[in-house]
Amino acid sequence: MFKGENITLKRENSTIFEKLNLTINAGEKVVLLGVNGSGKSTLLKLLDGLVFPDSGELFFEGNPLTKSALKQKEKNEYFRRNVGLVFQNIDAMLFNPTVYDEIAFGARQLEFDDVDARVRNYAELFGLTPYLQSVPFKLSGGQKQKVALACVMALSPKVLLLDEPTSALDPASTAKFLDIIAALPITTITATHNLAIAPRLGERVVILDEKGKILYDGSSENAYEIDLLTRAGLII
Amino acid sequence: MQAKTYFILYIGALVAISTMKSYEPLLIVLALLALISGRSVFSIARRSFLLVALFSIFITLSYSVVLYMNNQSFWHYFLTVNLRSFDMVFLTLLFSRKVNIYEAVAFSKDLSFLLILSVSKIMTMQRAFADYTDALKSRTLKKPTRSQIYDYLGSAIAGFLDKNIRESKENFEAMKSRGFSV
Repeated sequence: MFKGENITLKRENSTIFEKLNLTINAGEKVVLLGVNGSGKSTLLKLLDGLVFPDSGELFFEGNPLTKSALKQKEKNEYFRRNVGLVFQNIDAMLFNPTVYDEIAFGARQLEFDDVDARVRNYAELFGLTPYLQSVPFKLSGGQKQKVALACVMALSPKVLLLDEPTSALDPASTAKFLDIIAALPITTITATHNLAIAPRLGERVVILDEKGKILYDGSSENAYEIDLLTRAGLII
Repeated sequence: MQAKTYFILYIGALVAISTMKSYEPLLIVLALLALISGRSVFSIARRSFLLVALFSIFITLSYSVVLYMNNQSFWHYFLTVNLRSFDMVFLTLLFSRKVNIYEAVAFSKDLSFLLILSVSKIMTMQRAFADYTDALKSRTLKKPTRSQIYDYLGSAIAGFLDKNIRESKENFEAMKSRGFSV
């Protein structure tokens, strides 16, 4: 689904990734672990075609994921339809006058026949039905997070990129969200530093160290060993 | 020379520029500032122009139109006001590039707090703006219609304002909680 080869990314005077290699296969549930500043969010933005590597190559379904490729209308539409990112800063994602419009935003652009059904379905799933006519940015942090998830999922993407998706959710909503993610038959890549929920987010774990290097990439069985997590700075 | 001395000179220069009533001395000041800024002259000039264009040119243009309609000369007014703003912005940008502004205001605790709060606010806004842009890009599948753009702009501005009001209230409470007499 995604293949990154020798990706190097620099911002201002610091190197975020140096010769990073990563392959994500279709249907995988990947947990991206790392401390703050390890590059988790940047990696998700790379995979969402918002940031581009200074060198190295990134592919989506075998096609180069480059700025010029996304400038082509059809390719951009296909990519944006199939890859959805839920931002860590939820406020940034909410720019429609009502929750209904927010969830319908993508589906309307694609002129789906079942916009209303999709909106009501995802509103129901996330317990947002009573808020459909509310102004999104006036909701609580947890409700905003649910709206953001609903509006990305309403497009039925092939890949869901999630940046700290449960940071504002209460325990009950978190549990429900984890169940929803587990049941989704699509690729999910979830960035988190929350070790309590990480094991339920995926069977493949990628751990980034503080310098953005992959410290571990493999099964969740061996990912949560104390030595490894200590080296990643996730525990002390 | 110490940062504090530069700060005093900067304030003095700002006051001097603000009292200039015609564009000729303002042009001389601009030439001097350009000389001092050396290689960074073009980048500072570009930023200054954008800032002045955003805040001053639009307002002075409307005044100039009124003067023109009343058959009065407007060039002098238009040039002087905008050049004065341009000089002040240029001087401020030059000062912030050449002098460590934290050091410059270190003599006053209140000024230091004010500066740090302002800078942190600017950085938060910059980050929020970058996030808004990325999120819009990420969620836009087709070229948005005019009404979608208006909806987005309206909600984004309202959201920004709401977020800032809430954060400012929180800042105020945090300062109070940490013992500041505000």
